[in-house]
Amino acid sequence: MRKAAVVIAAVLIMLAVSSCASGSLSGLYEEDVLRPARVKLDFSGDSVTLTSLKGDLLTGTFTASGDVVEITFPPAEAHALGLRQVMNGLRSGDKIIFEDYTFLRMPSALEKIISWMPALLNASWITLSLTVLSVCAALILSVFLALGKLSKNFITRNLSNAYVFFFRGTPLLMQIFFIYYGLPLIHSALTIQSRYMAAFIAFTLNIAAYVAEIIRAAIQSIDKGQMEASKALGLSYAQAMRLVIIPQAYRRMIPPICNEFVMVLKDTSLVFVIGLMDLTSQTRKIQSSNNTTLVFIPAMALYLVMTSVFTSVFNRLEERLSRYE
Amino acid sequence: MKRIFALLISVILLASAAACSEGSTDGGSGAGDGSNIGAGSGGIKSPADFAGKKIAVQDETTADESIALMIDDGMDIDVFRYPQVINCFDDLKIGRVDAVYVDSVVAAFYTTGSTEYQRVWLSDEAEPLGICLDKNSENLLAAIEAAVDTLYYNGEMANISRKHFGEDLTAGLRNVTSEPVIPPVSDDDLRTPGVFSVGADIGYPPMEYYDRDGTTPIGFDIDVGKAIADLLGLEHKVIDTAWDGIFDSVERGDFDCIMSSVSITVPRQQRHLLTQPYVANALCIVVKN
Repeated sequence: MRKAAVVIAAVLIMLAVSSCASGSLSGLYEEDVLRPARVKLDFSGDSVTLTSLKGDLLTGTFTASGDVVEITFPPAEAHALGLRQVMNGLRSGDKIIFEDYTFLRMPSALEKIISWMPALLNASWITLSLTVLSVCAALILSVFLALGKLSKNFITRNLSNAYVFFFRGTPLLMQIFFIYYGLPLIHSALTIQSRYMAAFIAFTLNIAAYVAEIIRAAIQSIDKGQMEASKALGLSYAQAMRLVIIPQAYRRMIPPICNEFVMVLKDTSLVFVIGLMDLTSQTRKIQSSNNTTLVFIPAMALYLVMTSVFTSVFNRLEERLSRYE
Repeated sequence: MKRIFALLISVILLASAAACSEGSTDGGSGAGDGSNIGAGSGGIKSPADFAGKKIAVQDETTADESIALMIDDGMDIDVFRYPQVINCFDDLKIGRVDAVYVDSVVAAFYTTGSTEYQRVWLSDEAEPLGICLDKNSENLLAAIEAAVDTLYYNGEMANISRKHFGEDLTAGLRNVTSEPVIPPVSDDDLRTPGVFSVGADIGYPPMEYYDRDGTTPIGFDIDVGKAIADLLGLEHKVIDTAWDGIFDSVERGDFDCIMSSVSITVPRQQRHLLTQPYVANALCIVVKN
């Protein structure tokens, strides 16, 4: 957690320094759009009044030549209202007069990043929740798969093997695509309405295959002597597994499962194919609509924060479990 | 360890419940499996009927911007945004969305002679398409304009339009009365000498899409690009580029121009060079029958 805090602090300091160098208060003409925002313009004579969505009023002057209307607002007043956003589809009354992009004040790098943060945080919520939920669900499924692989029962063993073989052998991207677009073509009852749900299912099934192997390896790495001793004490196979073997295997599983969490966090960027807005797609959307690569800094910082949350949780888990070893 | 498993399970249950009931307009909406199949057009006759409906659009297109404005106005629309327009029609076919809000050139491909889809509305505001170049390519722009004028003059443009749309969607866009003179294109104007490289997001029928074999690009833009390259005496090369990075790519110089159903809008005209319109287009709504 400390590492993440240091990273964020460093990034913020860099941006604060750069923001002092840039940023001016004159009404500059520039391109920079995040989302179209609505304002209402009333033209009369050669003055124009702007009413923002919040009801703020601002008066300026305008000149029109052909299709181009140039509007100038006094920068100090514009700044006082905090009107930094770009206006699209300006209207006077109910008629669209023109489409143009005007910045009332050139925002500094830090201000731009702050304006992007809500969208980025929203998207990282999707990323984070998808990761946590699908890995958690996969953990449960994979315990059964792992035990299935170790089972003496012919059917169980081969079913588990087949499952792991299929879901590890095909790309996650194809699996997401297939579950969302392919299943409905097989049978309309298999249509999954929610994109989030489809992504969740695809991720769970895929991750379960990988984690099953992790768990199986962890179980098999426990000394054979433990099983023999349990049997000697009269425990059944199931009791031995539940009470002796698996508790010891936990500690061996922690580092690879933490790895899995961290990998899945990045794999969530694949959900763009079914139109789900995760952190990576949101970042690229901001990058293309603002024509700037500045947005990658907060995006990468967010990924680092999420990763460090996982690693610190698993580190503490490992510490607690190694108390008795 | 039991506590941790219990925690895991409760986390999943709680969060699944929360996620399922999320009603955001950017995906993650709706719940249940296939409960809304065959919802049908639900009586959509114009964009005013979008309220409360599920509409698919391609990300970063003019249709996307138009719907965003409608949502800002307070309309409650469930928007499904996709990286490619073919995904929108996939969803329409499956029944996940009620309608697709798309360019008329694409709609023509799906609705002409089809009993499955129909177009229910066409916008009055025209959205003509242009060829997009980097700001520093004035010489190439002049040459391309003259080449397009030549295609209008000798009727080739109308032929290509009829081939792909079934009708001449270019009629009346340009009035060329005499044979245009094409200025020569020097090697400096091109990224690769002798090659007219064009960027396109191939997956936008009938403008640019892949043939049945899955590798040959075909379409209106491809044919027009080939015709322009022939007139300029260059080799025509099409570079498949994802739509959401295509404008960055032309600025960076990955190719000479974009011919990928680029609508002429003022912000794009400010950032890049756009030719005069070469084919007419408008926004429209496609629903399933």
